[in-house]
Amino acid sequence: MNDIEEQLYVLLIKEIPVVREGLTRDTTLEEIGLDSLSTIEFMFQIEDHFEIRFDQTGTPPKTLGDVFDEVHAKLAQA
Amino acid sequence: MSGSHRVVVTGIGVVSAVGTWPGRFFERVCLADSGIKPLPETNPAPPITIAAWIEEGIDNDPKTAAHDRVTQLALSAGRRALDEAKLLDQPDLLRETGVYLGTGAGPSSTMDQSYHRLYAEQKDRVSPMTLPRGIHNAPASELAIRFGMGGANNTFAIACASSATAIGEAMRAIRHGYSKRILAGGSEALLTYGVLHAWHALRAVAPPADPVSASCRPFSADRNGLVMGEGSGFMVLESLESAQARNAPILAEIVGYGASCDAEHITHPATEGQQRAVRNALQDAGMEPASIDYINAHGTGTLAGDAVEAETLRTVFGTNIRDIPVSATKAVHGHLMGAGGAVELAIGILSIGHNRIPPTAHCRLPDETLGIDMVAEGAREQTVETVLSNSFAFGGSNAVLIARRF
Repeated sequence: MNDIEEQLYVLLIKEIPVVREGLTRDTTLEEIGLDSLSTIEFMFQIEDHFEIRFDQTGTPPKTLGDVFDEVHAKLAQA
Repeated sequence: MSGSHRVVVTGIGVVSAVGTWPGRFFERVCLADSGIKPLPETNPAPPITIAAWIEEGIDNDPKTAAHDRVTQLALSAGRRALDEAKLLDQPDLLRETGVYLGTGAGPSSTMDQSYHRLYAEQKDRVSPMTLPRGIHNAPASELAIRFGMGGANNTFAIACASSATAIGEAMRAIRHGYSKRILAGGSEALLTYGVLHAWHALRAVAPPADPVSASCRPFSADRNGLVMGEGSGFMVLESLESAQARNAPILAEIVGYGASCDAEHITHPATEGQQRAVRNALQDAGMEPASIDYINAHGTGTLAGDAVEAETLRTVFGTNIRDIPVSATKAVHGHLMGAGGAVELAIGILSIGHNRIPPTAHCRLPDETLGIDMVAEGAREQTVETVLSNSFAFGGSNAVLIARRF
């Protein structure tokens, strides 16, 4: 766990009605109710917050860990 | 279903600056307890500084909070109407229920925020939710999604006649057998920086009075404009057969709907067009003018608007108008624009249920030239069997509804 991932959980909780307890990197987007539209919005909020841009290509994230790894990768490039 | 069906109201829900229904809404309207107050301070400050804005009554759950304010209000008022109609735990009945919603400005906060982001913050893109939240039919669609209402889903954008038209058209759809049950009404939440500027530019809005709560004074000789408001009102309209089959509470019957267009001017009202709508409604109900017990006027508090409406009433009702109480409740709940017709018809139906006619608040100098009984002295206890509600819109569209005791 690190500060960046904690910020991501805060963004997620602002976006959808979930509680922090029980959320892990292995939690799938589907099981917390993030459909395709709300996933796009969540990614947009992340981009806005960290001032990064995800690649539009590639495999869509399935778990919170997938999202977090993308954020780490983009921040490392910045 | 086919043929002609009587249409009844089995539930009402209101969220407004003067409270909610069910709740203290009707009591506050009758007490002339105005919801008009200073707007919260913002930077930059808008040119309009007062409005009838809502502090409490909006459902406080994350699923509701995620939407534009106009949708939040619609979800909150719609839920109350469905609850009063005993439909919330009836998924099969909800599946055959439609939604007819009127809104003038639609999701204006979403659009305002996206423009601010682009123009003021100089960002190069907007939230992906801008379109899903910002489409004009988002409130009606979200109501359907939230409560599982699978019937026809229609949005009416006819400025200040939007929700009256929604109710009238819903009544017709049920009367003629196209639907069994429709949640009909409207929602408006346009107190955004951009929209406030647009209204200010039109010079139709009243300046703050002392006290601020008395800034909107319909039918008063010293009236000087409307006061903007936000709110939502819905009612469950249902065929009589459907309501009786499920032992639903029956609050009133909708018996008349008249629509017309002035076809003259985009903002200035014309009495001939209004008269056509009132006469159409009376004819639709099969009623004579003398059979109306209470008129909830459009009564915005503008000099010209109130005068034209009074002329309309004098012309259609003739000498009977002296004996029919006419009140303009926008003095307390503000001008709810597209939601006004629904909220004001709700007041009319509640006046039947309570046998109490709400006053025209702050009518401190009754304008005798109008020639109407504007209930300036306070609420009146009297038997009310039949009510007529006027909604006259920019664009010249007029919608008039008549309800009576069932």
